[in-house]
Amino acid sequence: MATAQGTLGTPGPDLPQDCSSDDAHAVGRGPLAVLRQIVAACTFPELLGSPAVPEGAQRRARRVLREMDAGSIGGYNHDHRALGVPTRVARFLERRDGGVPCHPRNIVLCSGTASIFPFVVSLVVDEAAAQPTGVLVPVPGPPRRGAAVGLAGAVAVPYPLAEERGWAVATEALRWALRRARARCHPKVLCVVNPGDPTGHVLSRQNMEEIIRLAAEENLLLLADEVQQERAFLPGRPFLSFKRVLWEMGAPLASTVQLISFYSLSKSVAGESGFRAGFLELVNVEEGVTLPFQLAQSIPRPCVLGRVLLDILMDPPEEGDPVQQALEEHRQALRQDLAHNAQRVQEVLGRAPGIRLQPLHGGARAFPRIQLPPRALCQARAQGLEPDVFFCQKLLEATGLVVAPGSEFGQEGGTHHVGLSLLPPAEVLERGLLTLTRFHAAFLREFS
Amino acid sequence: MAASGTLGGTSCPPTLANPSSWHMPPSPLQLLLERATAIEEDLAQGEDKPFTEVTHCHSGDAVATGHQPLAFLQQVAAICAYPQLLDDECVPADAKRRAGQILQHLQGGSPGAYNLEYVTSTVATKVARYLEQRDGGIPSDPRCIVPCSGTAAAVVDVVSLVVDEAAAQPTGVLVPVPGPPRRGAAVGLAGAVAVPYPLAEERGWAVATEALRRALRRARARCHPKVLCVVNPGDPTGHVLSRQNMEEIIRLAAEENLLLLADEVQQERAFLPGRPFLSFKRVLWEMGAPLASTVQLISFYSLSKGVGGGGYRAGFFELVNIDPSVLRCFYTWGLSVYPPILGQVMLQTAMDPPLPTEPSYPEFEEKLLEATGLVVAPGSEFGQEGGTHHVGLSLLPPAEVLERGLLTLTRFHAAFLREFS
Repeated sequence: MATAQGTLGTPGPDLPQDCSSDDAHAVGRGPLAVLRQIVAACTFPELLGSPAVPEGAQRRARRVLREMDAGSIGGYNHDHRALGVPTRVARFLERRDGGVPCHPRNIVLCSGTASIFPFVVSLVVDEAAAQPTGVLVPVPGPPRRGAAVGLAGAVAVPYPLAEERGWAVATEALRWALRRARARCHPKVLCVVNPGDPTGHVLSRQNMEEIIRLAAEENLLLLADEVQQERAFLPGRPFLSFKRVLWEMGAPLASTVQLISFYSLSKSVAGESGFRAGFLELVNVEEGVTLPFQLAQSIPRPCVLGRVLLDILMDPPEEGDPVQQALEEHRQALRQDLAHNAQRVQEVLGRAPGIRLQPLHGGARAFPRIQLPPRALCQARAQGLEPDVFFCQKLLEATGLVVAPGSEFGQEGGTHHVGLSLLPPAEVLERGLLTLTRFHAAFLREFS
Repeated sequence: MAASGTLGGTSCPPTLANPSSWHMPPSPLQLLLERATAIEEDLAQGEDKPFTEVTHCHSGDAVATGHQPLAFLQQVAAICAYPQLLDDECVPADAKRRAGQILQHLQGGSPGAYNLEYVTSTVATKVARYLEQRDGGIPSDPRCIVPCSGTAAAVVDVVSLVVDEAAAQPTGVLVPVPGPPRRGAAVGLAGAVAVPYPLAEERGWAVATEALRRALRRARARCHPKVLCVVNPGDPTGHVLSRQNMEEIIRLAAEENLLLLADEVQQERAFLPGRPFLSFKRVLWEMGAPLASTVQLISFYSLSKGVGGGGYRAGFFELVNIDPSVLRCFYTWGLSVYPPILGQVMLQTAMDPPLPTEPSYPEFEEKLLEATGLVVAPGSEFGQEGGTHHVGLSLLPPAEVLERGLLTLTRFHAAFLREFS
């Protein structure tokens, strides 16, 4: 990797520092050892009985292998995917949601959000219809979600999140987007991301109820991207699933509003993006529609190891179980680290002139708004670059620090943001914050 | 049983569902397997039947029928998952060395990160080297290799690339009958129309170009055929194409301006010395100019059918005579990209087997000599000429299981003939 030294007086690190990515392992947040011990023992069963793998991990690995066809994770293991794991996912969700019932047939395992999202949208696209199907997507939102909508044969309809309300969902903005969209498409789907990515906002129950009511009034399928649910770190703003809030609103909404919720191993407490696993939960979706999910053999299937990791996260609490204990400690540590990093980011950026950050409740990113002077905007445009991309490039060249340009996620025209990861180790983030604020101050001076 | 998951629910408003994507009835094999499970339960309950156990002779899943993936691959993967094993005596030195090399290429030293660069650079390069060796030195460009998570989704991605949504006529994709189950559905999912062409049963299931031409002519009334799928070795037929047949196919693809999709996933299961597997890439290259540099070909490989197993979701496809910039599409929206990393670790290792001097070599050699398996499945699972009936028999089970299966099948068929005469 090339080295980069700071040219604005900021001592540069030896290597480019990635403070942009929410890929936990890539930014130095290591895996939970016990999960990897179980994976290793399942992959190479001769390790069972070796001192290399602790007893708790061996026991859990044996349980996995007993359920496998011919005792091996190498086979397709269809029953594990279609029934075994979904059953345990359903139990997990019942515990998560305070007892709201969940049936395994409404759980569909997949290999991550990126590949399943277009498939889900494609199910509601009516190719024969005169008008294309519209899918409302939040701005800012996860990168390339709009492109994924297009891939599914639908039209993305962006709706702005309310930055001045901490990035909450403003139903008036939703209604406005719907009205305008109807000229060019038939809106059928409303995507909501909670906890927000990249915003870090966790929706209040009230906001969620407003969203649900709007979905009901406008006859929209609610797609709830809840993949960051295990990264909610503010005790005062706990994660509530859309399913739970919907259920607790009672009849008639509770049995009519259609909802599909996404969960991902990548953004779970395990952070194992490389294993490619997750699931969908279907709520109030009739069997005729769930059938394509179960039967469509062409949708990407999660590898066995990915399902195994997911399955372990779904395990019910068991007193004295070392695997559970390690998992729980890992969960606490993740929340604490995220909370600490979020606090530091808010403190440091809160003091910096020309940078404004909304309160953070969860997720792995901070999305501060940065002021960019008019001369910088001109230069950016002259180079054919988005202003925030221009800023991020300059930052990288000068200091070696990588942050994501706001245009990666979308933003209101005329505003500029950067995406900062909350996952790196605290000292890496501290240096990153120092570098960023110093560089931005110098940038403001240089381009005034 | 748990309570229903629907929140007190009844049916959803029909306008929210897309009717045309619902109609995928369960396959006949799936229904048979469900019945088999029910019978197994009956037997377990002590019910009296003319047999004592259900014998599975249907599956193409090598691992489920008892063929373990290569230990070397398992060891390397295990170490990459849990690098503390580098200090363990349980694991042979060559596996440790190999895993150590791989770990250096993984983001954060972890197969848990997205690792896009590892996949597109390290693995693609290893695959390219392997293909060069396989094909007698024909150059392979890593930029034309796309590691993926299995053939099913990759076929959808590839076909999607050639589908022109704006065109008046839908895109047609020729698929062999009989062929891999649900390939037609994959074509449909990609937005194209499947155009079946019958394989020539009386010629051992070779590809008959006259049947191809006939299918093309008839298809042109309803679609614009752009893609020709060929499966070699054939699934479920067991036929390995002759060089001559392959050259005929290539010439036809050139004449009819068709992209050739070669499903070569079973290439490591060619077990007859007199009929070795030849890749389409090799045959095309050896036909020389102008075809060698103009016919567009995409070839699929899968770890599921080689020394690995279907559970790891690993494979790749290679683009020949296609602009590498097309690859960017796959990495921005493909369904099959972002393959699971441990599967790619195993793929990389399979592409780079142990050297004869290394301790794991003997096992590797032995594995390659093993025959493949068959599956007893209804012929309709794979498609067949109207009026004909077939079953698919697996060659994978242990020999004594297959012997029993064959005896059972032949006796049963004889009795069936008598009963229904």
